[in-house]
Amino acid sequence: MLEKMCGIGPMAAENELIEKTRRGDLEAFSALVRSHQEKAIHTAYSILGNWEEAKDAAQEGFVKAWKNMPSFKGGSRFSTWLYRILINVCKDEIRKKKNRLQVKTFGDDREPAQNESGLNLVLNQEIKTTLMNSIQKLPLGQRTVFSLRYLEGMSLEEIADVENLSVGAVKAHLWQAGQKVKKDLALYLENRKEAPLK
Amino acid sequence: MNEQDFEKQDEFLKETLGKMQREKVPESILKNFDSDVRKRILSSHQTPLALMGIAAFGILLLILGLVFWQWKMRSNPIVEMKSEVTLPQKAPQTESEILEEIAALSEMGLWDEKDDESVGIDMDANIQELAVLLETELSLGSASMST
Repeated sequence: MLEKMCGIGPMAAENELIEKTRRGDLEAFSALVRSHQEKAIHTAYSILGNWEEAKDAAQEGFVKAWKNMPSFKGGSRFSTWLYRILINVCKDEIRKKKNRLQVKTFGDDREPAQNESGLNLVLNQEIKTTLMNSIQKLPLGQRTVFSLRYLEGMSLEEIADVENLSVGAVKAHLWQAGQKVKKDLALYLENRKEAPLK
Repeated sequence: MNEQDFEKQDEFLKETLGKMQREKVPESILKNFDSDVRKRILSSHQTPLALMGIAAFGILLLILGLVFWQWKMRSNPIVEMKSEVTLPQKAPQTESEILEEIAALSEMGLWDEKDDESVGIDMDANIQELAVLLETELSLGSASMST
């Protein structure tokens, strides 16, 4: 929409908005927010597991991005820079939650998808909850990398860029996290066999 | 972990968790998102301004206070207290000296009956005593004159 309005390519349009934002144009920044908000909220949700918290973290991330805009030199893509800020906000939120000793089941506020129904819905929800709870138990570094890869569909290179890690380190995190998640999933399926849904 | 094992696991997890990637952000969460970000930015700008305003007001109050204090000091200078206290050169020794002292203070209006009561002086007894003394003196005087 933005590029249509300006009659230029998406990257050029974004660069123009970034330039205007750096000069303090809040309107231009609002346009940047609108073009990235959905992905930002989804990314925060993948890490935090709660839509309200994800919304709050995404907003906080955008506010921090606005404040730090003068330090954005364009060395990396705007989205990479923005997600770096956002992921740090999410990590801070997780640390705060741990301090508050809040135990909440991951994905408690999930709304069931419209096309799901009956037994499938229950099973899908159960599997999702098991997986998400397993992800939540992972150490912070593994959890972030795992969420970005499998819930956000980011490439290994993108994750390495956002997290300031080598691709090899990203793979190592993913391997260890994957082993733990697979173990929890196998345990869930084992229990399901013993106590099937009626 | 070898490359093959990693790729196998990676594929499995991508497939299993892929469905969650497609989960849409609820409309209620997206509603007014950008305007809320805008509000947060504007309020975060207002906070330092408000703090600066409060600080400036505080400084102004302090300056006004100092100016007022200076002005008050000039119009009502504090009277310097005498640090030295002059003690009486010689304390009265005899009863008559004390009585003389009291009489002098009475003349100056600095001694009254209440002071007498407070030190236990019975003026009537003193007067009677004086009368007896006077009588004795007079009788002695007349005796010596007759001899």
